[in-house]
Amino acid sequence: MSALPPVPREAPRTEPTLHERLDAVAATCPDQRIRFHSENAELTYAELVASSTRMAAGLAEHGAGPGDTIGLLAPNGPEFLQAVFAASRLGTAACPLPLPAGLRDLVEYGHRTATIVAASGMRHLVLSTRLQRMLGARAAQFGASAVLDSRALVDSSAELAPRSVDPASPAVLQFTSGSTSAPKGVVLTHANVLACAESITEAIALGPADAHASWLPLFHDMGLFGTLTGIFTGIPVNLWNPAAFVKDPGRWLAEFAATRSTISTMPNFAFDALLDAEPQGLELSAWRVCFNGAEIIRPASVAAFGARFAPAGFRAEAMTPGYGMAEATLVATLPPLGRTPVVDAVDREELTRGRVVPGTKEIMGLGRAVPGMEVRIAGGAPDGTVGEIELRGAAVTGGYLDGTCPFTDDGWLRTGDLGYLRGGELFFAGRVKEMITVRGVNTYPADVEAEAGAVPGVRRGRCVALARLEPHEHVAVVAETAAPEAEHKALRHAIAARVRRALGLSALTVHLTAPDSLPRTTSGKLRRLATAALLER
Amino acid sequence: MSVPIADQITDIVRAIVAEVLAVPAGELATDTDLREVEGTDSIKVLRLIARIEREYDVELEDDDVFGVSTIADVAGVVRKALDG
Repeated sequence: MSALPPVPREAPRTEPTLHERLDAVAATCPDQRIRFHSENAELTYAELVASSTRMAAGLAEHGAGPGDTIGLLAPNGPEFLQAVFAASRLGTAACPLPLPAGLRDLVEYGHRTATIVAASGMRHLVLSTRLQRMLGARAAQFGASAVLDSRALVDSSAELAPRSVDPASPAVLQFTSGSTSAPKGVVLTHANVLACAESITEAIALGPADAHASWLPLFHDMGLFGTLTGIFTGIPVNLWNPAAFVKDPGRWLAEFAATRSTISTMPNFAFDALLDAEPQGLELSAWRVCFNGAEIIRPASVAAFGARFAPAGFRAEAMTPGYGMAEATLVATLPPLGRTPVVDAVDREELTRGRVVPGTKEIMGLGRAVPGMEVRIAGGAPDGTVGEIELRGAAVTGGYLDGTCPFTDDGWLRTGDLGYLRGGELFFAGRVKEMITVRGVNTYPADVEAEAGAVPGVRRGRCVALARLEPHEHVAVVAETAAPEAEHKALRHAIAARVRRALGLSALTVHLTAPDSLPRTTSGKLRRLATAALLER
Repeated sequence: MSVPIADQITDIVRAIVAEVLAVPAGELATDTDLREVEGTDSIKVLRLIARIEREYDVELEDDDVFGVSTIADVAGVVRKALDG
């Protein structure tokens, strides 16, 4: 029930695998360019076809074949995309691994990466030549039997015999869900990824006049599948490394504007960061779809950004807040094209009790189910009912690598998020799952508990961490201590320091309580519910 | 009597860290682990590095910044970039 008439477009492509789709698109626009601004590199589509084929041949020489998983550690450079398509050509799944950020504890980073390597069962790990000095020695200890240099693979002189790849086989293994101790790999088939690209293409009428831009890491679902969608349309693609944006948002915006890109993907915090940028001299009128997702969207951020950059030609209707998750490849709902953002105002207290009543808390409308996707609340509850958001569609995963399936009895994806629908429009209301998402990064209370519980002064294992959404998304940790009051400040600092160091999480509050005041139950969920009640008092 | 350049760099780095992370400079020892300072996250650390780069008009190599944890470490990376 879109408010807009259908947009005429070319017939959808039908090539069933990632590399076949790339090859077909590249045949129509061999000289179109993908620019990697932070790495001073670029690839034409024809070069991406040829170099990903050589990399596939190189991987095959090292024994990679159908059913394998290829790990990938690379910045937003040519080798990332080469490896994704090389994996596709071999009938193997590409498994992007997160890169360390800032001063993140390297021991902790190595531990987390090794856990993912073990969970995925990967034998081959492609390491970007650019990261050799920084990560080479460490990568050898992540557990993959072969760590292969990206440039050496692309320089392979081996021939790759053509092979047929099953569209129902895994193309990407995405490890953004799951706690540090139990990482969950989302299995995405060629069919899933192409369905997602098709949904986005249709929803935003993506066409030859567009250009895609992103500084999100390609190891993140929003970075990767946004970029692939652009590539499958044969348009110019502009990529930066995340550091380029974070270090100087204003400079990034100027570079973005200079590319005359029409499509961008960013989480909400980026719009706050851009408020310091100078609108003077910027020309932003080409920007027609400004995706906002991967964390809770604040209506205030959207409004402030729109007001600040309207004089530079930014149009309010370009802001495109959406809802999605790795389990649905990327996107589930988007607003109708050309609509200015829609905001609901509800009562905060009533919302926590599951009721939608007019009030002052503003919630961003996240649009409607994209083509090929269906959305419902708690098994099909009526409009205005708060319940778990459920999804069904061709882009939804068949399950996690460990065999677990996050589905309802009738086959819909359980998102673990709460929301309500109003006239088909989705509004986010909270989380069922024990997780917070800050700046696109998921953090699990169980991981925070493991760190906080190990701090001297905390009674052994006696602490509970909770995901909380008010006043902003954060984790509250409550720890039992027998230490005298005078030492509490230092203990709170020690707990916060350890969690920050290990998990890179600053969205944290620490509370101390007397021995035996926390509920004793072995169920993590019940323990957290009872502790939440304790915090409210 | 001239102050050794190394100490000057350390003091300026400390002042920038204090400003970006919004903590009193007096609470920041040269061996304070920046990952443990209240309010720190990877985003703020990158902003911090950007501020230092602008201050000294240098570009710090990712490979060098990666793995530093204290003000003394950061000052060392800056000194290396200035010497280079």
